[in-house]
Amino acid sequence: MLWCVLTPAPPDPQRSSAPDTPASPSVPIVPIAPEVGGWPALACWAGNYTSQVSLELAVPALSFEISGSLRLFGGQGALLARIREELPVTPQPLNLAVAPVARGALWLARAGDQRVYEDLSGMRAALCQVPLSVLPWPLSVQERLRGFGFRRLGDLIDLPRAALATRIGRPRVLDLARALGELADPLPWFQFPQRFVQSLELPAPVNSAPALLFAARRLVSALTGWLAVRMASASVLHWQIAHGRGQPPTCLPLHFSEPVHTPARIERVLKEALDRLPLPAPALELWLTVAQVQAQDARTQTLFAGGAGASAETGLAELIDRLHARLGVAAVSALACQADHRPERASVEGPLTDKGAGVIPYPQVGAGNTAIARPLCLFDTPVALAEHQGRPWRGGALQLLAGPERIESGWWDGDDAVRDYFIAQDRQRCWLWVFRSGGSAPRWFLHGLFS
Amino acid sequence: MISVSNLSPATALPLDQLLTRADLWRGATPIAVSPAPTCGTGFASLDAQLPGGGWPRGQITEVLAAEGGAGGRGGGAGELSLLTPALARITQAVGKLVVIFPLQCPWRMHAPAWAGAGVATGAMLLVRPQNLRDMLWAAVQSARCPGVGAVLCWLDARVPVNSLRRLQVAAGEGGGCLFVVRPAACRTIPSPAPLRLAVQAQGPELLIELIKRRGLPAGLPLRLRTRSFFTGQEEVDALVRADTGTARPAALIGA
Repeated sequence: MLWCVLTPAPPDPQRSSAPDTPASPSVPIVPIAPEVGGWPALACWAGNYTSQVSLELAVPALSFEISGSLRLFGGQGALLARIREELPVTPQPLNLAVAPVARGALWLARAGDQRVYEDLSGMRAALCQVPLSVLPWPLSVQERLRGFGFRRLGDLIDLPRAALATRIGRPRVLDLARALGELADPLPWFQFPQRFVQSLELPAPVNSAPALLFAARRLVSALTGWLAVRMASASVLHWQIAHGRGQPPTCLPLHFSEPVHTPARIERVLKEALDRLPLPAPALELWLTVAQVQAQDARTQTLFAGGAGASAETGLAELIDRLHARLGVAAVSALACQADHRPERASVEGPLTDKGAGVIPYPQVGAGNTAIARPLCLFDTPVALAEHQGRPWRGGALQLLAGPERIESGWWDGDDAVRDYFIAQDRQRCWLWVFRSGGSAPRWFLHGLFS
Repeated sequence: MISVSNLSPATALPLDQLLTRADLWRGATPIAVSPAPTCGTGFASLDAQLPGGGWPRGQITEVLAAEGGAGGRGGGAGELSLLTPALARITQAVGKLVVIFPLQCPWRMHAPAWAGAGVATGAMLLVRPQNLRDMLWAAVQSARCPGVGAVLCWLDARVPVNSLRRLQVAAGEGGGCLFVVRPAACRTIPSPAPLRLAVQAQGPELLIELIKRRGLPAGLPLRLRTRSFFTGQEEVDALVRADTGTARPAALIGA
């Protein structure tokens, strides 16, 4: 077992109790209130590394067991380095201690000892140096121990436990035995919530949306931990920015082309979305809600580094997400052929499917048939052309190079088209696709460019 | 650079080996040997004129084309037909093709024509940004993406040189082909693109002028037949002439 414990450094009781210290006697020293709202998010964040997480709000402390994850993360050094690097920035600094026993690690963390102890004997030696004042024991017990002349935990450890129990109470002695690993110390596991709804109160009102990214990172890291524990991924994230003062919150839904579970992908798309988000009022609070999750597709890791196919695929999905976030969903589309002879209906632009560049299932018309001349660019609405001496005119008489090709279709759906298509060249020497419409008064139109 | 010591008899390399070095310049060689990977254009006579024998990967290829109703942007002179053989090859392999053109463009991509040219339309991604800034951003992001085999982008004359330089760097990161279509008026504006061509349709043929390439400047413009569907000029003229008398297409009478 190897426990990581995160806890804020306790207020220094020496300072608060000693009357002779000049530390601003007029200001009452308030014990640092545990930031209750932030702790469940922090517990979710710990889910990035292990599913065995325990949260004790009374102390407060977050303990998580990492011995089962060492191999996955490439060893103890690599995992601890990663935990330290990814530790969210909190308003009050947190101490991180690592020891084989959770309670022992907690006491070490409260004493500010941030070294890593892998075995019980090393931890015991370190615990001997822990001052009694950092233990989460009642003040009366602390006073009493100080009265005995005890300063450090080492003074207590070797005393007869029965006699000690009559003086400082049985719970304290049990605490001591649990901290030293002599007694089992069952911890209540943190229950990861069914739905992810987390909020973050901003330390100061934020006026510009891009500045929210830093705060949002804390929620993103909590979300990825929560997703990791549930082996899930999400494709829609609902962000809400609360403004207070009766203002309705700003909603920012983030849609992903494929379910995501890594912080880097979420943050990049979030950045683009925040960059173009106007804020009606300063932001006070940030909410993140995930309504639906999918199971993560279990992908075998490649034996050799650099699985090119997978990285290209995720790279593309990420590109599409970022294009969507910045340009809007409508600005990115896929292209497909449709079985219709009318050119304006033969090509469809549609939204992308889940797999990135999607294919709209439809029979491919004209694929590989180079005999049919079709322009690569087609005008949305045909441009009417003037006629001079039976020739179409566009800044000069058009020179007809090929044609005609008769397209006659659509009598059944009311959009009847009777046209003769020609390939023409104008005075700028561009290849054009022009047609002469049928009917009582035939007219020339420009319909495409043979780019 | 070849230092003098390399040429001393003791360590002299065979001449054949020396000549394959990318950093060796020979006055008589018509084009530079490109150390960068390329993608064949599909036209043998054009490949012979390009460094490395094809469109450069990881670099900008700038195609200047006459404007055909695209509103200040190049397009319509047949420039895409020059690129489609290469694009077809890229999309039929794993690479995606990102096509970036402005939302204000009056035309859109016509799927049957792309499919007819051999391009896998399922591998195409159409991006239509609203302004130039977003276009450049989308181009940089797409060019940088490892899953993208080619990027095709319409840019006008207003693009700052710095942005093109940024595009060039992004293309180098991603390693795909980056084709930028610009109007013919951009010819006199300096550009960081290592390969620039001007394209002009002339009858059924395409006239290609290599404005800039690595190595010696190119000579005469190339003539390529990129489109195979043109019938004889006289036939069409005869058809239209026959129509003018009736003031409606002869073929329509029965309709």
